[in-house]
Amino acid sequence: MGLRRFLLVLTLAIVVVLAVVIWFYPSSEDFMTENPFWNGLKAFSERFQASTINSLASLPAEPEGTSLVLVPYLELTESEMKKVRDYVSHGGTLMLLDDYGYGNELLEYLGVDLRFTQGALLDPLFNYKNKQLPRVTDFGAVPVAEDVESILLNHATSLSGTPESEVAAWSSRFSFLDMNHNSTWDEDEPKGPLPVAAGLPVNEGYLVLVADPSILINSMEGMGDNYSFIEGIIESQDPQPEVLVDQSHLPEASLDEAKRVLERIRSRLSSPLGISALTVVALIVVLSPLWRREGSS
Amino acid sequence: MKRFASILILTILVVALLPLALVMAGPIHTPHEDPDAAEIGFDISLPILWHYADVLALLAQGKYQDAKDLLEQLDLEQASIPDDIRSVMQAYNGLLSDLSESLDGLDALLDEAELLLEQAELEQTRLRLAAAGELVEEARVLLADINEVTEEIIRLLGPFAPSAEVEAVDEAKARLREAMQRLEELEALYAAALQELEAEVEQQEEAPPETTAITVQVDKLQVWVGDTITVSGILSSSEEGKTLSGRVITIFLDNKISAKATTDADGLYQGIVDIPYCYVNSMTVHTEYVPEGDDKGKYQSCSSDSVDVDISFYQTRLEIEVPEQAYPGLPLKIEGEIGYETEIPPVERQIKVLWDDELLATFYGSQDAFQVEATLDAGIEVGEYTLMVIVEAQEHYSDAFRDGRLTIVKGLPEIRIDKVSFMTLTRKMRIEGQLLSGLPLQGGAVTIKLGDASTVVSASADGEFEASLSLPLGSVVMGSQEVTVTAEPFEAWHLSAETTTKVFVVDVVNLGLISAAFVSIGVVLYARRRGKPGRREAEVLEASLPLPEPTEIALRELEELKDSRGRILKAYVEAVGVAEKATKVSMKPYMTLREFLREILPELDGAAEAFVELTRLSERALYSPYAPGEDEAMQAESLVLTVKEMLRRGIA
Repeated sequence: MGLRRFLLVLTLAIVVVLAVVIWFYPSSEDFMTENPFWNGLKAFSERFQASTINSLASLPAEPEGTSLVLVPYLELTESEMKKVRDYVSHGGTLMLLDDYGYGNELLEYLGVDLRFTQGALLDPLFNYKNKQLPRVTDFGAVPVAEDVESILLNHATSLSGTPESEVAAWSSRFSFLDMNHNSTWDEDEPKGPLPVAAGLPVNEGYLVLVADPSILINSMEGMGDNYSFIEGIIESQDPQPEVLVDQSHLPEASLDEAKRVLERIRSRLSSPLGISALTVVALIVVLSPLWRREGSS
Repeated sequence: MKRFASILILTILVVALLPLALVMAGPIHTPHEDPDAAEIGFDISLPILWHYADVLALLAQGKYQDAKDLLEQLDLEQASIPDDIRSVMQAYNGLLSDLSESLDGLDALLDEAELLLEQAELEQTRLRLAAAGELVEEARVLLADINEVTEEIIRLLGPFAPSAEVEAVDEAKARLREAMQRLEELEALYAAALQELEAEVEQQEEAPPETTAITVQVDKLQVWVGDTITVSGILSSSEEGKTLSGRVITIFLDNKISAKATTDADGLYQGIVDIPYCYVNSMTVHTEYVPEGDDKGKYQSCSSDSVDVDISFYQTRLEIEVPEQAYPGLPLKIEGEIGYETEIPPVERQIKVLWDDELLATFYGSQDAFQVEATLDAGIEVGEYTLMVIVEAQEHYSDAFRDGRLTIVKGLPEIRIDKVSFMTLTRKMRIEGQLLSGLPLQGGAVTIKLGDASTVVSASADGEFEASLSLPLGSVVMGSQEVTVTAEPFEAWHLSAETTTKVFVVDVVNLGLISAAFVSIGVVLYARRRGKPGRREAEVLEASLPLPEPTEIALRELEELKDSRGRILKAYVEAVGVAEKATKVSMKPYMTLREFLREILPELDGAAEAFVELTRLSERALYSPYAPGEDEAMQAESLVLTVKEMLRRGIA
């Protein structure tokens, strides 16, 4: 085998091996539905048989009976916000989970008075291990789920501008919002109980706000009654909704980008044109020794 | 080149593995932490001290219920507190709760005692004051315990105050101690109030008030609901013949204040009492006098005897029939009958239907049997519910109600598949069927799924549906495939239904790809097989053509060489010819001299040595620049003779 040929084969082999590794090595990015580690949404996605969407353009035209889970860690463009508004206006249920992201811009666009306060919700008494992981035991006027006694949050914030009738869950009276991030309560910082989840109708649809997207991650879903709570808010408008998880507003690592590229390649190859091209390539590879022999004779 | 290849491979690996390395380094933005790996931290000092300071402050203000509510907000089972502190706090909560109850009870007893004292009920007052005295003592003991536990909690929480909160914690401790002090002051106030009341009782016992008496009469002892009665009587004191004028008399109907009247100059009082629309058979009337103003301490309070008044009304009887099952969104038929215990003219009555205490329907009915249809909410959940029918009270007619249990269920439609087929060329699957149900059906969404492909069609009002599903390339393999049909009826009273059926699919693209693979393999195999016969043909050709032996060719060519080299080679060729004949091993065109020698050597016997030497001379003559001499040529010719001789002998 000549060196040229050896290099070609080796490069091809490396590319194939890397493609396989990238394809099968799971994502470890926050809130990714393929991420099976502590910070991913794989368990949530499997439990609710959620469909992942990589663009808000994929939202259904008739959204009734669907729930869109949106964690806006990247800014939404105006056209994207319009798509979300249309989705809710036509009967979809939007689950907006945010703490320090771009949720408020979307809320303003939707014409809703509620806001994410974006201060750190700390609870020194009702928590799991430390005050950054508050335990919520008070559930409000919006019925979310039966048999929910407590839920656990993870580096959460709170909601503001929420009428009591729209609140689904309150933090304890011992909690407070740490606005200056010094981990202690200061005179001007709001004290609990503070709303952490709310639900309200918006046109024909329904909007659910949760001041902590981490409630969905693999390591938190099984904590307390988090699963029942999530199930309750997802099924608040429809007993068996189709759950859509938007991944297009989460920061991506290079691995995820590479996976996305491979996904696109696979999609192209599974098209009629791609299959035809593959067939032609396969035929060329298989028959080339014969052609070479014919040529040399 | 090798170095270039190594660098290239290394570069590819680094570029390819860089993303993985970046990912493994962890996310840049951390909106959460791994709860399993989270550090345990108790910053509990400040919130607990504040909490108890607030509770004690409320107790000190006499807001006992608020204090208890606040105490309950700290659910110790859910709170994240070290176990030793938790147990102390449990004891502390118990003490505070007991104190709250004691002080609340003490407050109530002192109020009662004060009121009784005003009514000159000295005996009752004494009883209350005795009980209050016990509570004061209990509160005193509790306060001592609470004081002790307060200090213990302050001591235990000390190590849990972060350095940044030391000042705030000291402030909270001061607040807690201050609240404790105010609580002790409150206890002292209660004790003083008790003493004051006891002194007043003693004072009244020394100069007891005059006893009073009151009579009662009712003008009618049998009335209809909604009518009125006149209640009258006389208030007098224990002093003989002395009536009390200008005093307020309270008239009670079934122990509820119904009216008030004032005595005239003769101590006579008279009041009109409305008989309410309470459909009971009898009610009790009595009157009371309670001294007010200057009469306090001068006269004792008194109460009249009771008088029973019979109440008349028409008793309504109601019977209903409720179905055992109902469906969301479908009308529910309720039948019933209204009747009375006596013969009376029928009157139109308002009837209400309540569904789990929510009003479902209102209508009017008379004495006859009635029937009503109420449509249930389409969003109602499946389960057991209570339905209640109420006939509202109407003047002399009493109300009546009946309830019944019924279950909300949903019907399961049947999916009948009439026809399913697959068209290979168009790659389309067609399916026809119908939704069937015993309940009204208005159509629905039918989802057809085969492999990864699916489509949704609407079923018509009679339930029929027809769908065509285009399969994407490569989505299924050839063979029997399962088709899943799911129906989501439009009606709230129907459940979703699902069924499966089989269809034989021959995917033309798959077929083409498989054929292409087989053709390719066939072509390669054919080509390989054709390669082998080619070699055989060459052998056949070689065997069939009268090609001259290489030695013959060599001899012809060597004829022209007359020098020593030519003579040596000629000798060698002659020896080869002899050896071939003797050994039956021919020299192939591709054989070297040595290969031929190796082949025939075992067969040469005595000629071997000569043939080896001859081969050596020939090789030298052929491949070396050395020019052999005459002697070597002669040696070669001698050697060939030896070979011939030895072989001939061998053959002989």
